[in-house]
Amino acid sequence: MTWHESNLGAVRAYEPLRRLWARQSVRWRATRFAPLSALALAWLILLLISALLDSLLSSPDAISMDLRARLRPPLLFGGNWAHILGTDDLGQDILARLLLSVRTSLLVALVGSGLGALLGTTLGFIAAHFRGWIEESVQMLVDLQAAMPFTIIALALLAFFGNSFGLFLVIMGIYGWERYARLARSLALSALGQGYTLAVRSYGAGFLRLYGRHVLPNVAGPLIVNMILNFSEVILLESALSFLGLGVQPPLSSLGTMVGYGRTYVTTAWWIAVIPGVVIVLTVLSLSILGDRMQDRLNPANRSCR
Amino acid sequence: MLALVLRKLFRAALTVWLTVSFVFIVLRLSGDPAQIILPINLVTPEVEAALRHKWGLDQPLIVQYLDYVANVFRGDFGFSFRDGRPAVSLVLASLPNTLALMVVAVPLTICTGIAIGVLAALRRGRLTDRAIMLTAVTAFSVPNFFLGILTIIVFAVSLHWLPTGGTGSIRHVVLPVLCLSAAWIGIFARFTRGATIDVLGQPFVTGLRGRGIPQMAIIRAHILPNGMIPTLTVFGMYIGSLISGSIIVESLFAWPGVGHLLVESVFSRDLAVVQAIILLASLMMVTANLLVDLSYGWLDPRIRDLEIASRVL
Repeated sequence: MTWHESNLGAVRAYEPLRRLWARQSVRWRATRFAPLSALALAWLILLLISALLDSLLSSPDAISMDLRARLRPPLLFGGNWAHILGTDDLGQDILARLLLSVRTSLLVALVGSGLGALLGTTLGFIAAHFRGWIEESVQMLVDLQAAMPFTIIALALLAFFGNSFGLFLVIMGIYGWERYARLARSLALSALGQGYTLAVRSYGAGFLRLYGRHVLPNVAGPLIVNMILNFSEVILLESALSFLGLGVQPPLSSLGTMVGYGRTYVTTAWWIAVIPGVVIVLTVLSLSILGDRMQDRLNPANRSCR
Repeated sequence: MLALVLRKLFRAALTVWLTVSFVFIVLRLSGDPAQIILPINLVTPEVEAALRHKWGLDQPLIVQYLDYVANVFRGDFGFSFRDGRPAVSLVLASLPNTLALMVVAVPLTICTGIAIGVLAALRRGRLTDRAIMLTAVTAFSVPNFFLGILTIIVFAVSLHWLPTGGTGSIRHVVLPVLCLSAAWIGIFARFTRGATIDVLGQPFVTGLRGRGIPQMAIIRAHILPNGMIPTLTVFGMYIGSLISGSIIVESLFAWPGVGHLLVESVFSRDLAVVQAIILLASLMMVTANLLVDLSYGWLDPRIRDLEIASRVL
């Protein structure tokens, strides 16, 4: 017996022990209270509540101009209680504008990721169900979408067509649909190999009933995770386009619009740009943390891939 | 192997063609360029007609499209509506500036990202790992326009260490490169960590350890080459996104590159230039994907076979 063979023997003897330990630690980790995820969830709930209660919290005159109180810094930087987050160059309260912008940004991201999920999932299910040339053409579309410089095309479309909120929402919806389609197709293919779909089909269920009532609820987990990640990507794209002045247009305002507006005042009033920017970062970060955690919970074997 | 390469080449060409055609037709449908280019006080029917005739806008859309495609193959991308210069020369004039940023940003991103990703994988579950991963997630949660504004406020306005924008010295490069790289360093780190952990779990690594091979040698000769294969996908995405990434960074830091040119052209509705840039970006994305796909086969003999390749890729 050479030396490395004996070593391998020792390694093999140790293997079951290591595996047991690894499994234990995974279980322990998965059920442990995660302060980071709790914080992330708390932030998102706070954001949602403030977006929903916006009309109650801020009266119409909250965003009115007050030219005597221009460029007031936030409370902790020498400001006062009248404007906790300071004011902009027209004396508008940043907090009030922020609440309005959060609502717009969340709405755009919700509609955008919802449209993408609807389009992508439907096409993915269709591809898996009908196979053949239908599947081939869906795959072609998916590949085409993935290989397009989508941000640049979106930029050009918005600029050339002038800005309509509807077109903007459609573009946000198209963004990322191909990942839903890929995911939905592979999930549906594996579901079609299982007994329950065979049973449902043998009862004569149609496409809508089979996929809407049976397949979708069974494969919803990964799709929801994808939707969370897509949601944060839509927020990033929306704010980037709005920052350039091609997204959400006045009188509406989104978080990106606010950062773009504050860009002019970086030397005199940094808070105008920084406060909405921090809100974007915290939101996207919270969504990623929660998305990752859900992915881990859904698929513990895939933990290592995070 | 040859059949695989040819098929991939064909699909790449098809993608570029479809993208360019889609953009051409949709942008032409957006409105009459003649009315946008002319100053309000010059709009008379005769001037408009002359302009349309000059740019070939009085032809049917299908004729314009065929003309455009034929010209593109001859290297003629049309003329800028703004100053009449060829679109291709405008793009080529700004390309070196963008490449100058890339030359610094790409190696920085890849080396840093992979290095901290491997480090996190080796320290898996410990404080170092958690700190690196939290930083990585934060890095790609910060939109680059906001990172740009933050760094301008901190390093240019408050500390006066670096200029707020423009070109000229090595100090002008620092902030744009930082904003271009931060998010992708995070993505590379995260992906490398996952890939490395997968390799670390394989029996051959345990075998190498058991044989007493030094840790550094295992990492260099076995873990890195195996872990890099999945990371290639990210590399392809990264190269493909370089031009889109430069749009905001260049316009924020007034860096006269392709991204800056795109924003200017888009706002002045300069069709030919916008189309040329979209073609360039599309070519870059497709080439990057093609190279990544092909190098998979080159690096991993298991994928070389056509059968397997069509299933994996």
